[in-house]
Amino acid sequence: MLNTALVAALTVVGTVLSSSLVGYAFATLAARGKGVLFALLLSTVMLPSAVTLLPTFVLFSRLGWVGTYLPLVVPHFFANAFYVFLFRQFFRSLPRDLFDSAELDGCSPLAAYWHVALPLARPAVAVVAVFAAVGAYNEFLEPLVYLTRESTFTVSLGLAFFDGLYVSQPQYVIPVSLVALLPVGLAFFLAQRALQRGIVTTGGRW
Amino acid sequence: MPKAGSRRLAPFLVVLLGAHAAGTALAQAAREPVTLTLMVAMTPQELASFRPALAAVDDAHPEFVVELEPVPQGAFTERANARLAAGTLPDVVRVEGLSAQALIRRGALLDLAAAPGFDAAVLDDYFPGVLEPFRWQGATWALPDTASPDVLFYDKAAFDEAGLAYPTDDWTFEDMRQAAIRLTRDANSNSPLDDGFDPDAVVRWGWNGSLTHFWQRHLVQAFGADWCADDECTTFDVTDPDVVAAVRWWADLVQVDHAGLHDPYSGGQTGVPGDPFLAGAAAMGYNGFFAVGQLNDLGAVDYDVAQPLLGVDGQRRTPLSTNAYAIAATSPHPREALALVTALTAPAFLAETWGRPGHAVPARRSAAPSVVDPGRAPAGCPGT
Repeated sequence: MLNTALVAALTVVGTVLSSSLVGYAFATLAARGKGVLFALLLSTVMLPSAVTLLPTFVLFSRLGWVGTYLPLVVPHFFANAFYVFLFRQFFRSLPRDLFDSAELDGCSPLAAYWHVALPLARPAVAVVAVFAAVGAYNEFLEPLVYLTRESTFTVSLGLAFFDGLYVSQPQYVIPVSLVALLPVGLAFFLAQRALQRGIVTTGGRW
Repeated sequence: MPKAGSRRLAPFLVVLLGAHAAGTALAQAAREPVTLTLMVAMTPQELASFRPALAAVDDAHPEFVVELEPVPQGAFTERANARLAAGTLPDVVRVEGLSAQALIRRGALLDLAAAPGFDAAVLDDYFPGVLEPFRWQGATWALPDTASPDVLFYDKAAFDEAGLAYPTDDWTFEDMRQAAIRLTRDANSNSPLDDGFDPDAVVRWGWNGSLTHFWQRHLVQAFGADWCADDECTTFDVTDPDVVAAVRWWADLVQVDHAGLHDPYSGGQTGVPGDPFLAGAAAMGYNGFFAVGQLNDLGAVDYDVAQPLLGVDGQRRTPLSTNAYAIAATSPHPREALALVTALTAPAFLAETWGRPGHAVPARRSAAPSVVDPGRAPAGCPGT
């Protein structure tokens, strides 16, 4: 459980920071070819993860990262196209004057992002954080191929051991699944209000 | 000593000291244990028996240190393919018989004869047929540790409730079919022979499956047919009239007799994933030795076993669930890897890890009797 919590926490931090920064850039900065770049970014959403799994594994294997949490966490610090889209849409809904006045006050674009845009983006941050946390919590394929030592296994990987090749063991799967559900359920109840506001604001839907 | 003499001696002493230092370093490097990675796909219960025995092997072999990489049984292929793509397959891999050829034919494994120190005499201690899944082009590519055949498991309470005699070692497939029809029950406890039987509301099937997988060749051969068109079974022929008749027999068990399942393992029919007999949703069926431990653990079914059913030619046929240890072709330590494989397939290790705990039947003749419970041994069982 602690392993999963660590991976999920780092994933959330990386996803929120990187996706919000990239989304802010697409929403507020002017650059030639921005539209093409954004279309290219969105096209990566269409790639199934199974297609990129083996080449990515080869890459991380050559870097010596297999057996560590790095392959599970580091890619999330390079922005997720779907969440970039969410943040871009949110930042575009904010009045342009806010960023213009920050610029007039001497803020660089990065400072305007950190001091003006991000604090206003709490609902969007809540949505992305919850989605990223749940995604990291439920992820199975990546922990399966990258984690080699039992002491580093996540909940989803540990649960899979009770599903044998010829027989499953529901007497173990069900109670363990129930315990694994508790943190996610608790997080949902605690963040429910912020989550609902965020979904309404960003238009994000499951 | 005169000064001129000591000056002539100095270079010699420097060379001597240097050679000594280099030799010491080499000797130390030679004594450093190599790290061997061992990938296994086991259930938690099997791992619980395996770990302490593996630790003892590790302690007894100072030339290597073992890093265990457990993987869920159902996810072995994904992990192995990813590691193979990166050229980082673990030094030693425990492969299942059904998927071994895929690794062997891709050049992923080492021919055991090429491993330094391999003694082919060890192969004489294996039951016939056990080595076949791990042989190709005349070479042996893995050493088996377990080889569990399927036998007929039956629910004694279900037979008592239906007023039927228990299966005997003389049973044929037709005997099984007749009993399976009488053992099948719907939600109102009707059998397919009763008026009002609802085939859409079956809660207990007489037989725990039907013909559902390509590896169930033995269920077709039992009827005098064979859907493999060549010796290596690389080509299927389901147009042969005998094959069609055999397949039709199994289809009728499901569609006409309503005594078998068309989807036994996913839980779509029974509501519980996994084998229907273990789930209490079937009165009898073929299962491997793994089912003994599972059934004893669950304690919900009063069961017994009988020999596999007799085919039309009077022969019994059963699949063998085998596992074996293989050395990766890319392993930089084949000598030490072979030493590990030899230790993991030693009769004492097999008896302690697989036989006595009741997880599986050891593949070696000298270790197989360890699986027998002396208090309940079948008559004529060797070693009892």
